[in-house]
Parts: sequence; structure tokens; C-alpha cells
Amino acid sequence: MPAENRPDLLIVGDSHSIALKAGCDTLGMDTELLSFSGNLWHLGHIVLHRHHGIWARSPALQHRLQAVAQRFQSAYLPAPDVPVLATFGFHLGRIIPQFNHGGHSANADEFLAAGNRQFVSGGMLEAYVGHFRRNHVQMLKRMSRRAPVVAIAPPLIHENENHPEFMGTISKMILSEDVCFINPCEALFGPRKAIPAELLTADGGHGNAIYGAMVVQLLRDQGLIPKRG
Amino acid sequence: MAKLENPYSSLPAHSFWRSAVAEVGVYGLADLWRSRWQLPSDARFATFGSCFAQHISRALIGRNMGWVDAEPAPRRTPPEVAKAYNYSVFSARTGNIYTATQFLWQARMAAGRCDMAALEIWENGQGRFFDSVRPAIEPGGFASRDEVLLSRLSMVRAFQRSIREADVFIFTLGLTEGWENAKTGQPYPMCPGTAAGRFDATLHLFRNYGFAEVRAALDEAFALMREIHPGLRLLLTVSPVPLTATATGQHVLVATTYSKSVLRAVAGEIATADQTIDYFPSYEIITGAPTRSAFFEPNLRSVVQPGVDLVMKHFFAGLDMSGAAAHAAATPGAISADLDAQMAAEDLVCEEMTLDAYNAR
Repeated sequence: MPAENRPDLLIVGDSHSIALKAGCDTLGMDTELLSFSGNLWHLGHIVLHRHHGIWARSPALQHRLQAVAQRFQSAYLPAPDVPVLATFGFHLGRIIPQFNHGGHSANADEFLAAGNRQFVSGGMLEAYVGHFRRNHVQMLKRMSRRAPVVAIAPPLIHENENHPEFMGTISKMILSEDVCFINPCEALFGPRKAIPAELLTADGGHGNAIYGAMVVQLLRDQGLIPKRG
Repeated sequence: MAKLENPYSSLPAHSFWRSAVAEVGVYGLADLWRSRWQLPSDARFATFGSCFAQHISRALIGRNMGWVDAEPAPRRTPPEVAKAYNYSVFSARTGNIYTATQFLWQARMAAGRCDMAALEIWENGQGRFFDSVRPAIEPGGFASRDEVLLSRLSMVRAFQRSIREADVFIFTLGLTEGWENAKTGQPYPMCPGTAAGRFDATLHLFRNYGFAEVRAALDEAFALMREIHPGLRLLLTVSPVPLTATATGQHVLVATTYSKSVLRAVAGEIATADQTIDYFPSYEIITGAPTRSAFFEPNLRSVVQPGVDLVMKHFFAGLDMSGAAAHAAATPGAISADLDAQMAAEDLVCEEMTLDAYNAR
């Protein structure tokens, strides 16, 4: 396959990457998707191997991964110099319900509104989130040394119940590692504002193709991905 | 010749030093304490006080007893993080409460008799803020004054819950020496300028509380707590851990003996006068002559685990939990299963989405 037939970029991440892929398709970009469930990311089943790049700890997943690598004519992912849009590192559905279970709140107004809530400081929240997401952020950092990576935050689905605080904490962790990062939902709709309902998929937990196209356009406008395609 | 009858002639063996202490040795001590209450079989215990109280918390947790954890860490918090942020050390995140006066102010906050927002907050000059009520509660302090106040309120709410939910409130008295604000009277758990804050000789006043002050502080604290939970039982202990340092000018050994003697005497007098208050002799078990100080680390201050184990053995042996269960059975397992099922369902949606993305190709 001639080099010019390689996809323009790799989209790698969890179920939120699907909207980005749809958005790229809408805008006529040739992209390749490598998507695994948030739980696999959360459990650390997808890692960045020193020699073999992105690596899945299961033969079936590894097979999927190798098929994508072939499209980039590369032995490993990310292929050198191919831009990457990364939606992994958040997976809020795996940690926020656990955190919320005992009535903990990192938001002052929500804590004060209910007498049975427990306030959690920003320092404690960082320590908690860091335990679960430090490796993911390190993976983004290490990937950024191999290819131009843009880490993309998932859309904010809930404006309460600690979602903005978790989103903000993980975003800060990524930025502190000098990884190129964008929170498109915030850029489009404002700080702590949830994605409008009409831009959600039927399950209510993900941005739809229209949202994906808005995000990709935003990335283009900001010069974060090539305009070819 | 017949033996003379007198009040000692009919006393049991444990009343005599030779038979109860000298001949049996430290591991032969028996009947040191018997709880004066018949507690429900599912009795709940709250634990607060000086650092030795942490051992009591741990022992209750270790035996899966009804330990009140009114301010737990979020679910799935790794143990090292929970420890660093002082979760589940005491029944609420009060930090160590060393003096009776400190305890009284804590009770006042819980009963709404003290403006908790007026208590000091210390800034370290590097943008970090510390709670003067518990300066070491979070590593590195808090990000803002507001955060200190919110966390303090969270702790006070939890302290209230501890009082309300406990059948027995165990309080370990630690010291008589402490520091106060000369203007406001606010007591500090540690001298300002040690863990946090800045020492000001014109503002920070050293106090070595005497018997009457300790007694009055505890009486008022217990009265306030009974406003929250009228049926609350109080179990007092005295920490056997000596003072790290004294500010009295006396030799620290002499100061320690004074401090512990006052606390032991107050605890004894209160417990004798009030059937809802009891005294448990952890101090005697660790420091008494039979141990020959064997339960101290080489620093002659920290208590070694076998000593803690022996204290807790006597504690559990003396408890009477033969009463009927008094609390509704908690079903944390069912709640957790619910949460797990909810998360599994969500994961299924995500997994299906990722697979569907490939099927569509």
C-alpha cells in the first residue's frame, strides 16, 4: 500500500472515540479507529509497551490492534508522525459512582445543600483520581513522544454529582504533563456546562455524530489536526 | 487462735497485690475491668482522643465490631491515600484530641455552641491553608480558606453523627498540657509553629490544666453530647503514652506523671459518680509495675503491638454484649451489589458501542 493511502490520523480511546470517528467521516477525513471499552482502559488492559507501542493484554484485542497497525503500514501504534486523537484517560463511569456512593462531594454548593454529605478537598480528590488515572496520563505523555497526540476530554454529561470536579482534576493532570489537550465541550458550551441533549446518543451517555463533527471542526480551526481530507 | 475478722478478710484474690499482680505476672492479670453495662449484641462504638485511641479504633475494626465510621473515605480509596488523609483513624476526622479543653470545644462545635467559622485558619505563606483545629489532617494543607471551612464543617457533622449513632463513646485522655489563644481561648491540638501556624508569644498561652479544669471541661462536654444523644454511654481511658516534651520547665518524666495522674484521677472520679460513664484501665495495663516497661518501644514512649493486644484482650473480655440487637441490620453488601450491577450495565452499553463501531464497517 503506498504511503499516501495511509489514514490521516488515528483515533484511539474508549466509546467516546466513536463520535470523533463519525465526525471525521462526516468531514471526509480518512481515519482509523481503535476503540476499547472504558472498563478495559480503567482496568489497565491497554498499555503502551516500550517496544511494541499500544498493547492489549488479550489476544483478541491484540489482533484488532494489529489490524489497525497494518493500515498505517507500521509494526506498532502509534505509527511515527501520524497524528493521534486520544479519548482515553477519563472513564468517569468507572470511578465517579464509587466515589459518590457514600455521599462524598467535592463541590461546595452540593455539600452545603445536604446535611448528610461529606466534603472532599481538592487535595484528596487529586490523590483519589491520581490513583486510578496516573498510569493513563503517563501513557498519554509517553505516546506524545512518539507521535503528535491530542488528548480530548469526553463531553460533560452531568453538571453535578462531582462530574465537573473529576473532569477538571484529570484535565489538570494531563496538562501538567505537557500533553496537548483540549476539552471541546467546555470550548463549545462553556465551563461546567453539559453537552446539550440534542447532541447525545440514544443511551444518553455519549456525544453523537453531529457533536463529533463539531469537535473535529474545532480541532481543525485550532490547527490541532491537519486540514487535508 | 482464731483469725480476726476485718473488712479485708473476705475480699477476693484480685484485691490483693501479691495474689493478683506479683504472683500472676503481666499475662496472668484477670478481672481488671468488667463493663458496668449490658450492651446490645450489635453495639456501636465511637473512638476519639489522643493517639493511643487509634489502637482502639483498629482493634474494633479488626474484630469486625460495630465501629462508627462517620466520615469514611470514598469507596475504593487506596489504603495509603486514606491513611495520608486521616480517614478511619477516629470515628470522624478530628485528628488527635489531646486535652479535655480541646474535647470541650469539639463538643461545643457539635452542639452548635461555638462558631466554628470563627476558629483560626493558618496560611503558610505559600498559598496553603491549615485548620488550627486539626493542623495535620491533610498532607500539605488545603487550597483555600473556604476549603478549610467546608472540611471542618464536614468533620463536625461527622462528629455529631458519631455521638448520635454510638452506644458507647470511647474517649482517650492524653495530656493536661496545651496551648490556647490568649484572646479567644481557642485551644490548639499542637503549639502553633510546630506542625503549622506561627508562634506568637504575646498571643499563644501555655496551659497545664489542673484537676478542676479537666473535670469541668469533661462535665460540660458530656452534657453537650447528651443533648445530642441522651442515652449515650461514655467510656474513658487514659493514654499510657508519655509526653514527647513538656513546656512546664519541669523534667519531662515528672511532668508526664503529673499529667497522667490528673487525667487518671478525673476519669476515676467521674466514673465513680455517674453510672453512664465508665473507666477502662489501658493506662494501668501498659504502665503498671508487672510489665517492667516491656510494652514500650526502645524510645520508652511508643507502645508495642503485644501491649496493645493485651489491652484490647482485657477490653473485649470485660465487655458484656449479651443484650438484644438494637440496630437495624445494615446491608452494605446489597447496596454494593446494586452499584456494581449499575456500573456493569453502563459498561455493557460502552462495550456494545465499541463493537458496533467495528460491525458497521
